[in-house]
Amino acid sequence: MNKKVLRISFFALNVLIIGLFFYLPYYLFDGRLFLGGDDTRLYYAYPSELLKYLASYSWITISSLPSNIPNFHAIPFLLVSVLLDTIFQSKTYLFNFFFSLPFVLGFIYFQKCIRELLGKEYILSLATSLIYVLSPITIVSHFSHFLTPVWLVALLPIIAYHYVRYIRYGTRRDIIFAVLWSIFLSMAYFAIVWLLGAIIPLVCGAMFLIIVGINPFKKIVKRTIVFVSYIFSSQLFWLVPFFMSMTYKGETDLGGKVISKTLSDSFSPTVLSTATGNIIYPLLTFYHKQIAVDYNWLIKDVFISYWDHISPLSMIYAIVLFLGIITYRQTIKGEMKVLFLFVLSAFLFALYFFTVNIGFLRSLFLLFGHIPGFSIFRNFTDKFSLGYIFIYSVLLSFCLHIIKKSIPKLFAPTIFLVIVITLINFLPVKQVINSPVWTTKHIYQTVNLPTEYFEFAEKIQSIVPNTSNVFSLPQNIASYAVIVESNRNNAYIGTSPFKFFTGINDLSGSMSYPEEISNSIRESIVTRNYEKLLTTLHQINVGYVLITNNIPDEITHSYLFDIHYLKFQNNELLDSITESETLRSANGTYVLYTMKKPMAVFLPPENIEFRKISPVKYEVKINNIKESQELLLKETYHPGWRVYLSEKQKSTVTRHDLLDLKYFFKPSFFDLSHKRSISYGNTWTIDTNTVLHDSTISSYEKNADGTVNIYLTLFFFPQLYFYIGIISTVLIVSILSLYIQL
Amino acid sequence: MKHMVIFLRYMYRLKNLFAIKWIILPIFFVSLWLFFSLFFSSDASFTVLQTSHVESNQNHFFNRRLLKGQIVSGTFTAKENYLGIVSVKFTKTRTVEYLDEDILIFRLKEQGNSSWIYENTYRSGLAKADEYIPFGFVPLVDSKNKTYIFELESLRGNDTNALILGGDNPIYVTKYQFPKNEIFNNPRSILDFFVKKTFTLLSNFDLVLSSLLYLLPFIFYITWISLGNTYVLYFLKKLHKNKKYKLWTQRISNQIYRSDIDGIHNHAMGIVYIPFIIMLMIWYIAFVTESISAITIGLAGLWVIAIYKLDLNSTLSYVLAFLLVMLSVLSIYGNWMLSVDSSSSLSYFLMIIGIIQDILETRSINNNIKNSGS
Repeated sequence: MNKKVLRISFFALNVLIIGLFFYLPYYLFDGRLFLGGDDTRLYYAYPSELLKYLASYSWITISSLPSNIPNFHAIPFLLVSVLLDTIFQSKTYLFNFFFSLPFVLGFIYFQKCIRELLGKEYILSLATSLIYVLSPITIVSHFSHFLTPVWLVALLPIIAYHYVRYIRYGTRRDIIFAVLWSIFLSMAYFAIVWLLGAIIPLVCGAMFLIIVGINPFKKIVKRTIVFVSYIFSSQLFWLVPFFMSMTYKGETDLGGKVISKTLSDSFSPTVLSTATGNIIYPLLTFYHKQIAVDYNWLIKDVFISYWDHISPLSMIYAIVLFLGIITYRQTIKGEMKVLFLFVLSAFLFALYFFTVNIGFLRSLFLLFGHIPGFSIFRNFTDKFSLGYIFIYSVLLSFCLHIIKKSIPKLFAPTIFLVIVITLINFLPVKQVINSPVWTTKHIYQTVNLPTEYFEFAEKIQSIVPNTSNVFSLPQNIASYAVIVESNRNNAYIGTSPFKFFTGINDLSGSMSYPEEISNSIRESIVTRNYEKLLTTLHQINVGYVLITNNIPDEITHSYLFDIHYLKFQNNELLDSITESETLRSANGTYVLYTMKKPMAVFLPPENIEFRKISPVKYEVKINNIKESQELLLKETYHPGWRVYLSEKQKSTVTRHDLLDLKYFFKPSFFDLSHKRSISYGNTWTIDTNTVLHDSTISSYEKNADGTVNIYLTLFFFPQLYFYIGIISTVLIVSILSLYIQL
Repeated sequence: MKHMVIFLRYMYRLKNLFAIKWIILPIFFVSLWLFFSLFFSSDASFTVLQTSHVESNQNHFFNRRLLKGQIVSGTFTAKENYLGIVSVKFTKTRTVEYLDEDILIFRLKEQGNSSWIYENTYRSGLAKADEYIPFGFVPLVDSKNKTYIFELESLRGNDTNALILGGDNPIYVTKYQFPKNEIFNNPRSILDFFVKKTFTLLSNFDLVLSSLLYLLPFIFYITWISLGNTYVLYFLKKLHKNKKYKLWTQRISNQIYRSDIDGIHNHAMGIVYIPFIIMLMIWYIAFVTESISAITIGLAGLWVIAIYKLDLNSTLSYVLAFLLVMLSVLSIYGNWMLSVDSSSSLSYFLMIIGIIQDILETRSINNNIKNSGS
């Protein structure tokens, strides 16, 4: 009976906590949406728009010239979001649901994982799962930004739980659940650096045990390989294009970025300037205070006003840790002991990677910077934070389990203190998450996007062709947009969402362009060389200028704008580069102007007709070619753009993306002449002889004057890897389903 | 040299292990420390001698802020010829944009002369927290025993870019760049230079601290031979005969030692050696303001020797690590003037040492089970 009551109480407690998690965003954001930042967070409120204009193409252009970073990882999540959007019929409900979801899933699955490892430890698992999701480290490093890595808070315990079960029982059911969760949260796998931040300490811990003579993995190697293979296969739909994109050497190739000299050169200075904390704050489950003080982060104030005063209370975690370590030998034996030593070793590695500043080990970390690609861990306090708190929470679970066995009288008060202190540490969550924008005092990132903006965006779609870029003023230091609510205290500040709501790309700041073009634009504006500016903007396919008139002074004086540069972005500039006003929003907040020089995505415009089928495909007709002609496509140069001969233009074009797979088998033409344009873009030399001799289809027509009209398709070849990835994933998941059935 | 040869002959005649163990090898290790310190540990090149200068009436530097138009001046008497650098210490500075940096004028003249020997401008961006900015000039060949005055003037110092002079001694350092042919002219000049260089090293506490890394072989060696030494043991055994002492040590021995073998030896040594290391740790945390890798490695090394020689249990490593963590937390909370970086680093290494002990122990248990099974 007692057990039954306990179980019901435990269940009720869980329900209560989950309810509070769902209530949390309403408390934090007062009915607004927590949008903005580099990831925009628009996934959670406007999934249909993102699905339409972003997720399906590897050639993305979000407030910048095209960059080859595939976005397919978001598709499953967006599909589910679209479904929920139609059910909820409210952006606020939808956003808040997704804000709470990582908390809820992390909380539930961490408990399940611990119970799978340690047996029926209900209250213990509840206490440590609270540490995992509510600790200041998790809140500061993940929930305060709410970037895509936040989904790892949920995914890590989910995968760990199913992995432990599969290793223990070999049940296929666990593989299928792990695969389904992985597909839904593939967005979290895309945060590969944070994922590695969790995996590396675990691998190091295992290797450490092996080196000093214990191999805990002999018995589980086979099942581990099977499990990991299925998870890996489930991600092929985005992994194939992702890895293939690394093989291209374009202007913005991802592989090149990861091992680029600029990134590796910045490793040592970044590490040296941020490795200033010590292991004490992480042991108390706090984020490093020193870095917050050094860089004047807003959480510095939370430390000063709150956490510093209550920090001795958090010694409870260190006490639990050391009590567990000191007494484990008398309590646990055999495989459990080896498992404990593994978690303890992994913890020490995680603590090191999260802190770095541990005597001479800091110099050792700097040496790791010579490993190609390791530079991605230069922001180690961020990248290793989740791995650290996950492993620490697991270790604390073990330690509490040991205390329960070795000093039973101490267990109940210890658990009580752990829960209470975890909640006390969590109290300033509103101050941490919903804090003013950095370097401002009264501007908050919680916002309801104004109707005026949506109406303006809708009208733009019917005026501006989707082949044109829009130049936004004032230009900021990133590629952000600032969309301010009428109260002027709440604003969307993040990667410009213009593309999502219009399908047209805008260039809103210095990071919207490659460095060379960015410098050229800035120099032209500062020196008032407007002719040169017009030429540059024309080269990068800009046809319109968008002015935002209501940016508060507090924002223009913040880190987001270069105040010196801002002085030159005035009416004189506007008059010099625009011809006329094209569109004005209802209250005049947003105004669109047409540029002085007419825009064309293909050059020369005189004899070229084209249709943009999708961001990765153009149908082009070149009229009256005599012998040869240069064709210029004003999209960032990428070797993946290919020219195919196509049949004479049909009157209507329908999009069948999967049919594009035919390009795998079709020969491309003029590849040898494909090169980067001196100014900007891709150029080919179109030679009529090649077309006349090699064409097996009717892709040209001869004119009476002896000239030729040629029909071409320009296709972005890397897009095909996405289709192959999708087919691979579907095939493997289907085979797996059959395997489960058998 | 003659005396050295006589000494070595004497040692050889002794043909005594005691001499090799207690005199020759320790001298060798100390020489090693001196050699490496002089060549690698000094912050200037080997041919440079340096003299430290402290706060005084003539040298009023502590924490002074250099705002526009303000001048700070120092007066010193050169100890050697070839004066070539004056390095001035600055405290933590705020980083500003290149264009906003302050410009400093450095001037040097001999006391009594009206004209400046050297004058140049420097950017404030050169200054780093708690480091010396070197103001170099063509070495003054006959500078020895002459008194010099130098000035630093700020041209653009304001609230955001102004530099602040250091707040602890030495406030500035003068450096003398000797030509190589003068040092290696004859054996006497070499010996003279070595002696002076050694004094340079020993007179600079920071240099001594940074050179401790090279002293580790000596410390480890002395510890190693001391722990097995019969004379030391004789003294400790006498101590161990005290009943009260024995009872107390046995109570805690089960927690501290892995085995019961050679109880007197281990207990007696432990009661001296363990507190000794702990006291060294406390000294390091309390009196050395920065975390110095050499000391951290040294202390961790001493602890490893203690574990090996005294057969200590990992529990003691963990307890010590825990106490250091608690000390750090209290130090942060109570604003105690302890080096939290040092104590937390030590704590981390003790945890690493503890877990290695545990893993090795588990492995040996597993092997024993396997062997007994087969």
